[in-house]
Amino acid sequence: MSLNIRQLLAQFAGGLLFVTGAAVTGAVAAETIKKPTLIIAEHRSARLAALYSLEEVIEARVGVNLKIVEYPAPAQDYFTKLVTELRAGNAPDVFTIPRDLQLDDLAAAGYLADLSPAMQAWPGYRHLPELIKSLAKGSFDDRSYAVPSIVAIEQLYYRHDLLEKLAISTAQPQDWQDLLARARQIKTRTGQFPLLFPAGLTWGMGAYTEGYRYLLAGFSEYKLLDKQGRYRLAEDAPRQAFEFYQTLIREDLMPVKPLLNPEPWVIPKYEMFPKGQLMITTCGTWCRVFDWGANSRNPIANVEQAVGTWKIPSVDGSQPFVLASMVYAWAVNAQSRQRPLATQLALALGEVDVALAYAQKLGNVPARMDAKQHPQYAALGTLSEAHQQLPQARALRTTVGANVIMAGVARATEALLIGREDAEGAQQLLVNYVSSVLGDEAISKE
Amino acid sequence: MTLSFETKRQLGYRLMMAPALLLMGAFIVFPAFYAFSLSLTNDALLGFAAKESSFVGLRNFTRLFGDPLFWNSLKVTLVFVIGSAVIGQFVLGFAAALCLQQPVKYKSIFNAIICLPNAVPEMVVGFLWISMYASGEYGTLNRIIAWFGIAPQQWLYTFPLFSIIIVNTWRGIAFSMILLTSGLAAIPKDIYEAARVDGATDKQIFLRITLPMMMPTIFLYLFISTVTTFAIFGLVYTLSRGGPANSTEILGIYIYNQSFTSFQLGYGAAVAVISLVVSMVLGLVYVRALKVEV
Repeated sequence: MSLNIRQLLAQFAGGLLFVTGAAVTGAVAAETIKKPTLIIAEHRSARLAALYSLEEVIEARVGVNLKIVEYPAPAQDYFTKLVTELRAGNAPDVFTIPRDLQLDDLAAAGYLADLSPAMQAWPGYRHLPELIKSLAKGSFDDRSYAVPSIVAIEQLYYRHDLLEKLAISTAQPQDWQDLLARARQIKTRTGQFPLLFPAGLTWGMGAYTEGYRYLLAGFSEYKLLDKQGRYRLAEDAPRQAFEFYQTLIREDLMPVKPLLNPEPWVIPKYEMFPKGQLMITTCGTWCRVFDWGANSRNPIANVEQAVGTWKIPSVDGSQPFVLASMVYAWAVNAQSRQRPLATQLALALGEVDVALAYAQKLGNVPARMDAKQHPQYAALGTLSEAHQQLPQARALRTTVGANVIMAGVARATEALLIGREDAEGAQQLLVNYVSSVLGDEAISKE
Repeated sequence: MTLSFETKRQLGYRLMMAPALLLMGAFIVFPAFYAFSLSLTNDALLGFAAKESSFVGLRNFTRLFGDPLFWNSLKVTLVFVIGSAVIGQFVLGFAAALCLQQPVKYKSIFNAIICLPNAVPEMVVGFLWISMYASGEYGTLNRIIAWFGIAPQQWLYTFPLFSIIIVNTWRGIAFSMILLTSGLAAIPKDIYEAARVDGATDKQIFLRITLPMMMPTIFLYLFISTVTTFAIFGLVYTLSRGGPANSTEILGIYIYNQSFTSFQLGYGAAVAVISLVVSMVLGLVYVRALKVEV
């Protein structure tokens, strides 16, 4: 076999190319191997989709390999799995805290790394509203334990299209009586259920977060905690909030039977509201995306116009308000073997581009106010209006034991739903439950 | 020193029992004692108590006895056990066993059909019946009743406890049938022949021969099924999670809810201890009063 010069040169060039290619690939592989791996927990398809879309960017930003572990989708199942793993010491390096009011219980248990110094040094920190900064801190030690990323703005959502058709006022209700009068008017005119405030045991923590909390926050002078950090449950405000539920139940203004089902939100929120059998419900910014958006199970046509929002009316006619909840804030496992890197990762996940990607997919708003300057901000659409409301939003601060408060409210509202207790009995049930679990000292005697 | 034959035999027995005892010690006895020690603390999965739990004496038990949800759960459990294990599974399983004693065509096919539900994992059974009981017009049962002009029902809401009793009965018939069939097979055939020669009717044979001779097997079955049904969790959790309004919250679900939804390990352990005590009392009643040989 003979080769001419040209063939020889071609073979030489090919060989050179192969060797160079192999060397580069080897170097890249070595680089990949050298990078430390951080384990991150994520759940629900929309959140997973957001994280996977950002995976490479985040890996490059922090200089790590990410191992994304998919957790169960239902919020309660996710939280239970996470907590048991944290207790067992085999939880991921970085994870999310579904709701701000779970932060204290996790921090008090010693599961969360203290991020205070890193947060103070982080440029994004100054762009967080004060309310959100405070929700990211432990109420008992004022240390920062989470990196806020997105926020849910919660208020009342109503069927604007149907109320207009019925010539029922769509003006903002100013106080509870105003809201009840509107509800009675709807009931008389349509025979349908006008209003939903989540309640009952099977709704779980939502009985508090998506129902009772809206009412308690309506007392402008009331705070859930006294100066010593004890729960003020034996006072007038909690009883009046139960009385509001009692009125809704006794006057048949709220659907009760569906709330006793294993998945109590399915019938009222996903079926009755889209069908116009329920006119007003408590909800957050996610509702127009998940519950009634184009890709939901029962979409409402032209949802942005068909479903309007009212701020939450206060009990005494003071300024109506919206609630802000820090949802899915990033936290670092206190037992992580790579805490400094995990902290860097959590901070990277608090950046605006990440928050915007998540917010769009989940129907929430970014926690940081400088998100407005980001080119992708326009993609938020009408969510940007909710983002503007963030600095004026209200939150009802809880402390360690919030989980017990939520369980107690679920029990008390269940007792109201099935008619076992009246408002006073429900309040007593809540107080007794909280004292029996947290001790008498957890209840304010002031 | 040489060991006698008897000593060697006894040693051999003990050695053969050792692995089983070791496993029972590790996975039954130790957890039971651990649960008891946990029940005397305020241990939790969240809050300060998760970091540092403290001894609270019998506080969890005092709280438990004053908790209407615990008493409700105990009542629901007893109804569930009596409804599904004692009545449902036993009656249908015994009937199936008696029928299959007769010369029936395609007996093996009937046997297989009855045994199939027991081969399906608990959670799968749950999901299967969720589809059967689904509300709205697409639920399997609702489609069936629609043929008779009956409106769709919300089975798990309207008849929650009855619905889960049906599922557990359906699942447990096979075990009951197999155990009772073996009992029936042990009755000597010549006793029946003698009775027939003496002119006994079918009813008399059943009441005077079959039933009395089956008693030890029946009580053994009732003992086993009562204790195992008491410990059921997955099936009910999948179907109803204890709702609506706690109407299906059997003890297993109540323990889970207290320990892993409310995150109160100490209290959950106290309920588990009481559950164990109730099971043991029931077991003792069977063993002592009804002379069940185990």
